[in-house]
Amino acid sequence: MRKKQVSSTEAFERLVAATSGQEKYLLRLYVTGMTPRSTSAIAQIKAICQEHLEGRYELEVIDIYQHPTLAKDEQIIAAPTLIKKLPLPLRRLVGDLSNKQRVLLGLDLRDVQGRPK
Amino acid sequence: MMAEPNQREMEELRRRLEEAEETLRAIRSGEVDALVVAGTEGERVYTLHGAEQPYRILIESMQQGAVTLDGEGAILYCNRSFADMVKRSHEKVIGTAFAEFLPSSQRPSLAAMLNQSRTCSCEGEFQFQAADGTFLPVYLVLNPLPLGDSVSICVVVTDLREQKKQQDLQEASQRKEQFLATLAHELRNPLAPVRNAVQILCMKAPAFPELQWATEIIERQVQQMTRLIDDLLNVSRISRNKLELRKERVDLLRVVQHAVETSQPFIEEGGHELKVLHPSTPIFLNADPTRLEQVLLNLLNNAAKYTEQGGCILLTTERQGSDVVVSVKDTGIGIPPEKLSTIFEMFSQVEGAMSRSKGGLGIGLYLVKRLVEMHDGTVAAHSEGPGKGCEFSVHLPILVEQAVPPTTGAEQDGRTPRSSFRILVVDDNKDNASSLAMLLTIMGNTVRKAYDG
Repeated sequence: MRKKQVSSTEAFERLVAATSGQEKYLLRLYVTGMTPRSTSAIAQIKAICQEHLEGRYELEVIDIYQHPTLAKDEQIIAAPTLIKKLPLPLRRLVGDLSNKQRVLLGLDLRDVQGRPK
Repeated sequence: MMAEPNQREMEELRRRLEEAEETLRAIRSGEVDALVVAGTEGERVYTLHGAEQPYRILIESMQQGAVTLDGEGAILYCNRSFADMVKRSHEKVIGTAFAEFLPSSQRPSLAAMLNQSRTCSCEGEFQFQAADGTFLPVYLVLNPLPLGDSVSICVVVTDLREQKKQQDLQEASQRKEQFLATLAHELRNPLAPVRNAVQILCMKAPAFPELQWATEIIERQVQQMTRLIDDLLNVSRISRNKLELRKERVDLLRVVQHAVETSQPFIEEGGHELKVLHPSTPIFLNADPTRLEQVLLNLLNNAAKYTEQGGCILLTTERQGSDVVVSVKDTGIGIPPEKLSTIFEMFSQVEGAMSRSKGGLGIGLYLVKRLVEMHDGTVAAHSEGPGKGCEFSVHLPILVEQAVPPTTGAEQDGRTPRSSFRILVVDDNKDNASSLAMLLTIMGNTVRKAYDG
């Protein structure tokens, strides 16, 4: 039976998480400048970060009009898109980011039943 | 043997499939603003309807003109501001060559710039010639606008009239400041020989009572003129940031005493009673004694001027923490509450017969505030209202460590100073030279005059 190769980064992350329970989140939000959807997505994500990830998150907001190449590198196909780069695994959430439950689920901050992990 | 996908891998695949389905669902439900699509020359962002609305509104409502030109320089689109600038209607503008709005002399430079702007951003100052023939100075910024295969040019047009108006205003203001400075200087020159002459008269006048009285009037009025001109000169210097302070270690009490002495005539004229309170221990400041005296003198003179006959003026000095507070309180006409906030501004004067009859330039308090601020202090005015008097309090930091040791000032004791030197007076103003020479001679010196080098 083949032993599964666990990536060392993943293992390290889990180790750190297991001991401290406080993983650092690196989030990227791709928006289209000034649309109402963009501005409300930015506000909503910021609020969620402040409420659930106080002191352990980094949020970058990127306007795809101004940085189309960045969008391509991350394989963004539509905006708004929220990417959770860290902690692994990478997660992608497209569309309506005003649904708090949906966002928390997408960020792995809630399990399917809506209970905090 | 085939490896079995374990639990974790299954979970990850499931999640990714879920994400993909979610993305498609979101796009189909119109929950997205734009799509990023690979093009022949890199990524293109396709905006779905509604996402461009804010930009449209921004461009349409901004003050600057926005124009899009095709490769040949014909106008594809322009916003309202541009149409207004060239004084044509929207419909008439679209389709016209951009160059038509410039006088023919400027068209070659525009053509060159249009060429350049296909590859890089460029800018320059031009003139528009509107439909009615009037000229409009403008600044153009051109940028290439890749649209599919062809290259368009987008232009931002800034109206320079406002800027030029500001420049003109600033130049006019500077000329006025320069004029005031020159005026103050010129007004001062005749005063010097007059003062000298008055000094001479004072020494000889006691023999004739009417002469004495006349001499005293001249002396007082000349002093008043000197004060006004000095105020003007000081304000002019401060406005041009040319006023320099000579700070040294100064005993506040001595400054207060000098100010009180100098304001005596004013206070006596008003029949007021002046009370001075100060602590028994000396308070030292790092300050320019002349300027500080000027501040207190201004406040005392104001108190005397704006109080009806037979009023009371109270000058107090007291420590407050690391500061000293000098306060001048009077029982005069007070300051209306709406004027309190602007009382320290230039040319602000409380309305009324009293101000008009006593004259003044309305710059005294502005000078006080600037001088106090140059000493790292603050000044404030309080008044309960018209008829209820007012109080001006000056906060200044007390000197902590040693500054420059005080200069030994010669004390004026009122008697005619006497000396005996051999002096050569040189001045191209003959009156000034003569009067100074005579004054020095009376004081006992041997004097010779020259009117030039």
